[in-house]
Amino acid sequence: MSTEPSAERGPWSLALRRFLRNRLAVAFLGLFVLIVVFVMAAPLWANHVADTGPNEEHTVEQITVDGEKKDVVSVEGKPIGPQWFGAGGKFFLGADSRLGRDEMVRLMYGGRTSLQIGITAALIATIAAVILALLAGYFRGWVDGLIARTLDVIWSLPVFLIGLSLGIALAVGGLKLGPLEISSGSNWNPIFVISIFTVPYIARPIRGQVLALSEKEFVEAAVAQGAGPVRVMFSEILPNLASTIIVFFTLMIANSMLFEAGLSFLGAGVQPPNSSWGTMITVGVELLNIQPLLAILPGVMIMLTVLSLNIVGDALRDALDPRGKARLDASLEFEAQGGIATGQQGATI
Amino acid sequence: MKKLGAVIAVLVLAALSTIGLASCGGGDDTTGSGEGGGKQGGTLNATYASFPDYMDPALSYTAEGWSAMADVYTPLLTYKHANGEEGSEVIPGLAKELPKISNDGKTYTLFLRPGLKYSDGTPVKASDFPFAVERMIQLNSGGSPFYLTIDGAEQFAKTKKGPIPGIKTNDKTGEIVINLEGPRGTFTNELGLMFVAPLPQDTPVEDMSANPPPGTGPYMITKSQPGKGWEYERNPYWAKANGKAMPDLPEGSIDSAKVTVIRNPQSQVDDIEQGTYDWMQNPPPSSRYTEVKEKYEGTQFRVEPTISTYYFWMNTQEPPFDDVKVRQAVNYAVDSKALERIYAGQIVGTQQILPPGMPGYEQFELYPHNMDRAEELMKEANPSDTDITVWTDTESPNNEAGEYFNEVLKELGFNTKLKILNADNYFTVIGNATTPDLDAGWSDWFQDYPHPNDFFQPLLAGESILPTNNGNFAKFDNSAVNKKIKELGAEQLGPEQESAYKELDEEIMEEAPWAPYGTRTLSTFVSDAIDLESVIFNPTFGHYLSSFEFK
Amino acid sequence: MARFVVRRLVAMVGVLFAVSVIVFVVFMVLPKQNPAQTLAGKNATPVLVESIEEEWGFNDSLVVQYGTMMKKVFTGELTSYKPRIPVDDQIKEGIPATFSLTIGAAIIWLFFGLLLGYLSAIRAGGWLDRILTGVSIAGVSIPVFLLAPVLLYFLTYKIELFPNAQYVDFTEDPYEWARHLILPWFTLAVLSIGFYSRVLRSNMLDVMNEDYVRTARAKGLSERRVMIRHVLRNSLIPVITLFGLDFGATIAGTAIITEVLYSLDGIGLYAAEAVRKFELPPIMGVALYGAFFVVFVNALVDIAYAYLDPRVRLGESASE
Repeated sequence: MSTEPSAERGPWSLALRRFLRNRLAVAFLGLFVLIVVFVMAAPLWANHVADTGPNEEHTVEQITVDGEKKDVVSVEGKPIGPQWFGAGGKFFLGADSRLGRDEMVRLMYGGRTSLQIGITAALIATIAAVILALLAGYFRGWVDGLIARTLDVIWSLPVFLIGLSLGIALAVGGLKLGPLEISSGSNWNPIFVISIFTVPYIARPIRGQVLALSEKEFVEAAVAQGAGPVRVMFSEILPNLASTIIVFFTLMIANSMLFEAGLSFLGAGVQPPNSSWGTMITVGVELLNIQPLLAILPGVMIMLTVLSLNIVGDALRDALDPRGKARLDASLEFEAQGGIATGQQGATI
Repeated sequence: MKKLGAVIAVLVLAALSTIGLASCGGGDDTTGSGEGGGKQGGTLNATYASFPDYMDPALSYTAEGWSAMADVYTPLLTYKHANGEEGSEVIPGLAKELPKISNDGKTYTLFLRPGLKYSDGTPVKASDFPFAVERMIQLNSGGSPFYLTIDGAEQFAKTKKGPIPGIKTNDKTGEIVINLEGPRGTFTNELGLMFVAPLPQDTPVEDMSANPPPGTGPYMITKSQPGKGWEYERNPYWAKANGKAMPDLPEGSIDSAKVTVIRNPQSQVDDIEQGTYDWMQNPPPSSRYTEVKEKYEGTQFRVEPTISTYYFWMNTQEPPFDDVKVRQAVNYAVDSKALERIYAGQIVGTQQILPPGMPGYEQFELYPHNMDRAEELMKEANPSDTDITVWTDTESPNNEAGEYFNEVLKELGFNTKLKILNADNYFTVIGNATTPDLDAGWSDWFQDYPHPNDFFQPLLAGESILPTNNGNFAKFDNSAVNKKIKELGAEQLGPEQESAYKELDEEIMEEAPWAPYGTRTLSTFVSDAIDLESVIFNPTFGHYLSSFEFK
Repeated sequence: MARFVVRRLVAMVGVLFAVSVIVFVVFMVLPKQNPAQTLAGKNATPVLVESIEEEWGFNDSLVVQYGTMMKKVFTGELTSYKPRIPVDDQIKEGIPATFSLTIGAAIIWLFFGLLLGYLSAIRAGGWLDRILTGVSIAGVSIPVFLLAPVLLYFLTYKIELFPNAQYVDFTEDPYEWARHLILPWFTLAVLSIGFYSRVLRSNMLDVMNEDYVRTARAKGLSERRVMIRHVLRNSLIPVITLFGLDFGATIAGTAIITEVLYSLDGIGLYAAEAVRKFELPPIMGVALYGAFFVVFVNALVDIAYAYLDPRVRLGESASE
């Protein structure tokens, strides 16, 4: 799968150069970095500019804009619009809802939650998937049968329906699985749900690759040298999967973010008072006629983040494997699995 | 390539403009002036945001259901078809007069009017009443607890083997005699609910939501598609028989009605504005409410008061809310003004158990908003346990009210955890004693009928604290109050009782088990084809189908 | 071959069984809640709750409840709690809307997806390719519950171009049927077009580099002919596979959010309502119906694939 090392440069630096030549991808990588910086700056903005936290309510308060006093939330329940720097940075983007919270602060903190959940879920799913794929592809036989069947079952579950139900059940009662306990309001619940459903996405194509790789000569050689299964799996096979894993991980972050947003929209994801871009869109959609920005801002943020990740992931695939053979196998397997047509599971490429 | 592009562009434009033209002109599906443009007749196109819980009079226990079936099923007694407080008056329905009640309050005697018929032509018999009561209990209806004081009804509920000894009827004379185990001041009101509307005795004892049974009202349901919609036509036997026998009840102006469930309330508002639909049963969503009110009030829109109380309850049996000072502090801290904004003006602030419109209501204000006083009280009380869980449901704006309450408690120094539950399960979960950490939360209560006991007994009486399906979330158990509730509940409602209820209201609020914050307004929003003035909204049954008239 | 088919079908049954168990567990075991209490309403007495438990069998052991429910699934007696309507009737009634939505959107997304992919591939690397790539990926990145309300806001409220959606049956009024479905079709399609165009593009690019294509060019065939006859044809197979699976999944009612936002009375909406009310019978019904479709179509695709590619049959390639 990886290219033969050229005489002067290792395959990784070659890949890096190919990536850097794709100016579109570099630009979007930059955008992604900007977004991350934006959300990490949340406490700075909250404490020094807006002077309020993401959950503090100012329903009956007034702010002074250019000398005039204005209601944060009008008597009929209309939240104030973007003030930019008119009130010294408070309510820069206006108030978020009838609870009168600072939209800019919430946008930043919400982004943190969305990114945290997306990245964590993708990470957990990738690690679990790689381990399962290695086990299945290397040991084959009944191990493979068991793992493949389980993945099939998860795969065939009406993803959104079960994810939604599970999310709601967990939101009420939390999770108690032996020693593992997650309280009901925690962000770990949506992470848990998203990870479970993301695993088959990654595990199936990688399993295919492991199956193919484990028949290659270098594996035979390692076994002949007396390497145990763990060594073969992790030292010989795994490095060859590296590029596929990287690409999938990137794309799965985008996928997870969209999935979380969908779950939160239906009340099965992030629970108040925590907020994410998904919950903000829910609130914003209700107030769409009054203040369209409240739905559009978080929506655009999700879109830009997912877009950047998709483009970067796509470019990574191009850079790491220009011949495209593995891409064909991996992408077909990856895409040849239904349930991603509607964006609820975020079709990534 | 270029030429092809131009051709395509023209075609697309043409297609779009055709659609645009079509929608501009064809938006009006109303057959409003169906019968020659007059006031009488026509087909009402209505929309509800959800299908009622049941389309069966014995089972339905929601505003949608009651509003849908109010003019289809007439019980022995009914409520005056009038707006506001007038609509709280109980009047005879299928019975000739209001019941004669014995001196000990345990025996009710009524006479069925002769000559009444169901919409399928079956004559109405006195024995149809106990049949309906038994059917309701056999179906495990949520309304059955109202009728368990009837002699032998509890036993019947357990064994499902009848007949119920407490109801005796005579089909020849039409006499119906009901014996109760003890006096019950609310029984007259309860006889006016559809749970016990008489039905033909061949009605199957199962949920008839997909095929509603025949009724005695001016309209009948001709088609029911659960989840999607239903249709009404005039009941032919109203004109022939029932209408003449019950002249005080309106016969209705429209000939038929078609109700479609449209789940998106924004769509509903657009449809009414465009005239595609004539009436939406639920109020406009908060985001359109102000705009609709400003544009159409007086011509197509009217605010309707309800008899309801929205409140925050506090668990009086566990710290920190077992200290009355803490509870009073909360009452001082909650600001109805903020909540009015959160509800976009659809809440009118109050701080009492009974809402305006309920007999026995008289305004008083024990805890005007005062954050300083609240903090003072908190300092005096100095609770040791400040970790609390706050509960609310997902339905907007109740979830926002819950978030507001959460923040208020935080300001008072509590360490809070907010739990927001699915609206359909919310009351079951907080009503279950095994749910941990039921410290404080949101709730609301809409009257079942206009009698103050309907608020005090299920929500604040000690005997109402149940291990499951609890309604007394504050777990309030005050023996003096319990005694008063029981006494007043056995008496028939008169001016004496009303002032006693007002005192009870104040007495309880001094103990502050709740922080009530408002009463909800609903609304009437119709298209411009409908005469707004004629529409009647009854606080118990909602909008009457028989009150809609085309201009 | 026959053994392969049989194996797949047996696996299918196994998967359906697992799905039913998982759904049952999620709803009955995880939440510590007694459905009888929810059904009993706000005025309930303990006697009422007990009666309801007896009526529905909620006080039986979980295994017995599972068994009774599965029996009801097969005899068609499965009913929802409130109101008590047979689940299979409701699913049948939801089919026209879901099918109309899916088939219409599928035609659009397939057509435009292939068109955009084709154009991208033949102009690979150029500015057209870049733009189409951007558009495709952008389309795939929009959350559906943002796209739909925004479309509704601009095209039904600000400008009254389209109706506010609701499902009008084809047999009632074909013109209205289409008009009410245009926005939902567009919404669903936007999300998938990008996908298909990318897949076709990448497949075509790979095929274009194959030897037999170079041979065809060398033979003097026109570029057009080469593209369509050789490249396109061979690139389409995986796309068709994909399409089959996607289509199956959407028919299975996974377009839940779209149906909810546009108030289309399909299976997805029915499922969403059931989840909202947290009622197990309709969810079990929809889950099994959905899983059946997905698994069935998966199996069909796998069988067709096996038929076309002998390596697969013998279990060597990535798929089963």
